[in-house]
Amino acid sequence: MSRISATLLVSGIIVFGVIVAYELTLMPRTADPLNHAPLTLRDTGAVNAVSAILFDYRALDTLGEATVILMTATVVAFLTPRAKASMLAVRLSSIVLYGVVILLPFITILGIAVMAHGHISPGGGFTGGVIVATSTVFYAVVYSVGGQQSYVIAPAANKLIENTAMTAFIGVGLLGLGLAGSFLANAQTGIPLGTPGELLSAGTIPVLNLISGVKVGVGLGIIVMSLFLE
Amino acid sequence: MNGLFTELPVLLIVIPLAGVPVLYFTARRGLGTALPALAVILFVVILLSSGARDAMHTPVVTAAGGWQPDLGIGLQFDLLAVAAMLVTSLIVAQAILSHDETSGAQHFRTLLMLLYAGSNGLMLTQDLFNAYVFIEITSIASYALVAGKQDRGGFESAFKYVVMGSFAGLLVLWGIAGLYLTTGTLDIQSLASRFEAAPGAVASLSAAAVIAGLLIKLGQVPFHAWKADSLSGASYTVSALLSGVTTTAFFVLLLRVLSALPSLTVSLAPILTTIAGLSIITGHLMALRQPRYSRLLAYSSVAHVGYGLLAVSSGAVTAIAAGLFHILVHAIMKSGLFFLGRSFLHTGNRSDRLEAIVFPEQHRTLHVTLYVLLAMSMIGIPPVLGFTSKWYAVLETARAGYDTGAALIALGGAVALVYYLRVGLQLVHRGLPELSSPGPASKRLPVPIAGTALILLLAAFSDRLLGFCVLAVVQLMETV
Amino acid sequence: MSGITAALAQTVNTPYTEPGAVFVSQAILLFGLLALAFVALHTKRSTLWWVGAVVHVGAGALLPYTANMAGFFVIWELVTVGAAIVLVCEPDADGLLRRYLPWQLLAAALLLSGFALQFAESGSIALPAAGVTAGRVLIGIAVAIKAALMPLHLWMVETYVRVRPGTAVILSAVATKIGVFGVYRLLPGSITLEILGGIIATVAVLYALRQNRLRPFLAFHIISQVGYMIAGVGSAAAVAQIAGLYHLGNPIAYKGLLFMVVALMVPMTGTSNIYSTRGMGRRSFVLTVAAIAGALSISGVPPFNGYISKSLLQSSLVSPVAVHLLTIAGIGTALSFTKFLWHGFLRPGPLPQAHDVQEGLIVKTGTRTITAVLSLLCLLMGLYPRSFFAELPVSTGITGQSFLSGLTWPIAGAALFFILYGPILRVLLVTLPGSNTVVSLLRSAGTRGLQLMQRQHSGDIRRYLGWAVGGTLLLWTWVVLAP
Repeated sequence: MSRISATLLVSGIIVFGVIVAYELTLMPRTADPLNHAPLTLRDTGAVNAVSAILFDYRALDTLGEATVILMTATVVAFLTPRAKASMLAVRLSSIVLYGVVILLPFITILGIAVMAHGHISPGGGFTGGVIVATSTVFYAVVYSVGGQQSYVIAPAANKLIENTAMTAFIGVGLLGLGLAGSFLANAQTGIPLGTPGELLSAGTIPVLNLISGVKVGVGLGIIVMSLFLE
Repeated sequence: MNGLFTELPVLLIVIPLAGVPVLYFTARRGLGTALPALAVILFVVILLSSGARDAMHTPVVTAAGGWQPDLGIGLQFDLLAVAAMLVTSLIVAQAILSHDETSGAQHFRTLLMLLYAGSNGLMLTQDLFNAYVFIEITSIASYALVAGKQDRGGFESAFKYVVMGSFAGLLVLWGIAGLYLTTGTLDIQSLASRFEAAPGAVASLSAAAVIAGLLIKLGQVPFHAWKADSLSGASYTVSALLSGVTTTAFFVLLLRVLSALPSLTVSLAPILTTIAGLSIITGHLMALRQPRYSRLLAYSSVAHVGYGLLAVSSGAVTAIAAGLFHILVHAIMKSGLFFLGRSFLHTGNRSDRLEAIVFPEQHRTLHVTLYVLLAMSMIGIPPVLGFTSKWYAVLETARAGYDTGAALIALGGAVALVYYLRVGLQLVHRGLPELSSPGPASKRLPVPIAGTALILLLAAFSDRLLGFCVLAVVQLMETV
Repeated sequence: MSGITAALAQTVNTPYTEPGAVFVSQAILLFGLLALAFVALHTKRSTLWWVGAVVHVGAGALLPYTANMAGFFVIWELVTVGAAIVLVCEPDADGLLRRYLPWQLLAAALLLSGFALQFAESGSIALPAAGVTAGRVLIGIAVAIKAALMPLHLWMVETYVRVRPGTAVILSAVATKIGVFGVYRLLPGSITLEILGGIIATVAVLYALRQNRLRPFLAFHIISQVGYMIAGVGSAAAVAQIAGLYHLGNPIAYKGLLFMVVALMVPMTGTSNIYSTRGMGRRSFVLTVAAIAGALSISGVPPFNGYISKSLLQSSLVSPVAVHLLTIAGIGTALSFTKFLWHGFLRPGPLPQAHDVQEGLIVKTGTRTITAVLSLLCLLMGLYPRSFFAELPVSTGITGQSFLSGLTWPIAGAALFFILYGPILRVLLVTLPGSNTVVSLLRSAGTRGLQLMQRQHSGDIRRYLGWAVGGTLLLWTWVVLAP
């Protein structure tokens, strides 16, 4: 691309940026997002409105997003050739080694807690899954010796877990279909929503939170580990 | 309408998705993956046809999770979706049959299921963000499929595809955010009523961004250039899927978006028809001198999607129906031509340069017949379906007031003849080039027999099929 | 609606049976069947060839009966499909298809566009769309290609020269006639068409005079005769139209005859050069009679059939310019065929070395019978024109006076051959532009344009992304600026 056309393009983009920014300042606020909170509490029993939206109102989107992660993991694992990971051959100091040993259980437990409390406090399956994935990656980085990778979970088991989680997600959805006549239905199935704020409340939301947490955790783990193997 | 049928649209997406773990588990037990994958498609087709009658009367609108649109996600199961999904199911089934039982077969079929789920979702969804999720699923599955050849060319093609696809995704996402910001809704139906009332230019700019993103996915000038590069690096089966399934799905989504925004469509009509016209010209002219089979077909796709876009942006109901009809027919015949390309490999020749490809000795007459019928259909020579769809597209576009466009579509056929003739003469040529040694003998019949037979047979029912498309478009216009 | 299966069903159920159309259909059918019979007796052909030939002739004979655009277009295309199948079976199939099909498809595309414009204006696909002016030019070019009118004739000359002789007979039976029928059916009569027909008739004869090979020579004469037909059927005068149609029917007899004669001549004399063929007159009596009958017919000498239509045309055309042009063409035709007869049949001198010719061909009674039948047909169509085409005016026919006046121009033409042919030929060779220069100029320009376009698609992803960004900006600009 010649310099002139590049300049033209960039200036065009800038001009439009200015127009859009100007238009946005003129715009009235249409809706106050906070108004949703009482509504979600009534409908889903979840205190965390974000989780309510992710795992109930728009659970189909979440199924799709979890699928994207699964797919990316599969693709990355398939495309990267199996070879020694030179990056893992680095010797680490004992401070790091022992520090990680002490931290790892806490990180994992934090991840699980974030998943489990997704419906009553900030966090949820995606956040918790990322934390869990971090802990597995930590482990692999620290304890892989001489480029020989060590796993928390073997790659084959990873795949099994992923696929089982996916089956479970769809299974919960089909349960809703069978009981309430709509896929991924929650309160309509007659499941007790429980007392808002308690751990066992909000119907299927905590279940879906856990499932997607597992999916994300394993999926991200696969992606990161595969990228090491270059 | 009650019971299962109200929830049928979700199942059309969920069944292929469930196919992913199913394929995994059957493969683990050593049962193979071809039969389960085919079973998934069969299941979807049975659901489609059993729901088609309901859709005929009133489109089935489902709210996933029981939450009505605006709060939840609406899925619309109408004639448009039925027609398009029947076509894509046929192509996916052919793709499953075309893949050999090699080590990558399970991986390929898993991705195929995801592509199938994503494209079904694209054609059903009524929610913009949900559409974005399915765009991502479809796109990532296609990137992976393109890269699946695992050679330099495959990776380069996939890289280009990823760059352009991500740009398209970015535009669509930006546009959806802008639309949500200005109208406060993601539902396409409520968007229709609130779009007009939205103040300022942001709503229109956002909608234009969504349209631009979809035009990239459809490969229209000037967003077209990645198409040939991406398809030429992929295997023939994958190219067939990309030009058959994803193109159809994105076209249906574009149709839904445009029909929800009638005022914007009217004001964009001149530029959309210009884009379509340029696509027709560029596509056919570029195809004339392409050195490779897949590149040639890719450029021809640019032109044919241009036919559809032209008819659709003209705004008349019958013209839109004709455009839709042509896109569906094009999906069958173009994927058929790509599937036919797999036969070249049986000659032991790995290159798809035009001077190197030739039909294998087995089933030679059958191959030639299939090629001739498919090419006739692409060019638009009676008595095949491609002709009737072109006829409707030309006449209805002209009636909608786009004379030049109609003439371009008509003349496109004459140009197409030149390159299909060139390829055809090469393919039947008996003097094999030196490099191709007789390949492994294949007992397998060429894949696109079913599709080609359909193209021939259905031509007799063209009027009724067009009527179906008209009904679908009327339904689309009414529900919005 | 632009329904197509319904329209085709309508063509079958309620065919269009205007007398002129029926006459054209019968003419094509009759000539087609004779040609098929000739080929069957002449040589062996593959099954596929026969399928193609039957489709070609059958579709051609069906075309006049269609009452709407859909039927017309589909059958028009089927004619091409049939021809393509025939050409596939020829020895030089690649070259033939490359020369024949693009032109035919271009014609079809133009016809389709023209129909589309008519449909857009009238809202109906019935034919003829009365009072609709849209699309006439496009349809005009389409039928001009099919009828091989003068600058658009290349496909015909190049195809007919390359196919085997029998195939040329089949192809010439249908394609051009359909083009002429298209003019009759789709375009309103006008003086422009009369003059155009006259010009083409004249120019084509001039080109024919220049030829020294048999088949291009005949091909140019076909074009010239098509010019006559166009002048007739394109005229606004009813009588001229009828004359034009009758002239369309006449070549059944004489053109087929001449093609068959040539088809038999080439193997017998072993050359396709007009100046080298000789002695046919002493070799085969039947062929000589046939050649003379054909030449007299095409030159419009009474009492043969060419005279009837030509004289009727001359008297009924509206434009005097067209009349004069046709007179010149008539003289040229006579001159040209005198040359043909003289060199091939009548010229005295030693016979060329007898080739190992498949002389068996001529002995076959079948081919001889067909040429004889056609010669007789030429005569009968001249003597009893109204039994062949009842629409002809009552006064048509040959009287003693018209017989003498009809001889004037042909004799003048024949005389010119012996007196002035050398100088005329030299002038023609210098002045008429060859077709190849124009074609090669166009081709190189097209190639350069395509190369330019291709170079833009360099495969550089940054450039492609730039285009996409530019396209988006374009859309946005439009949205912002549009009302």
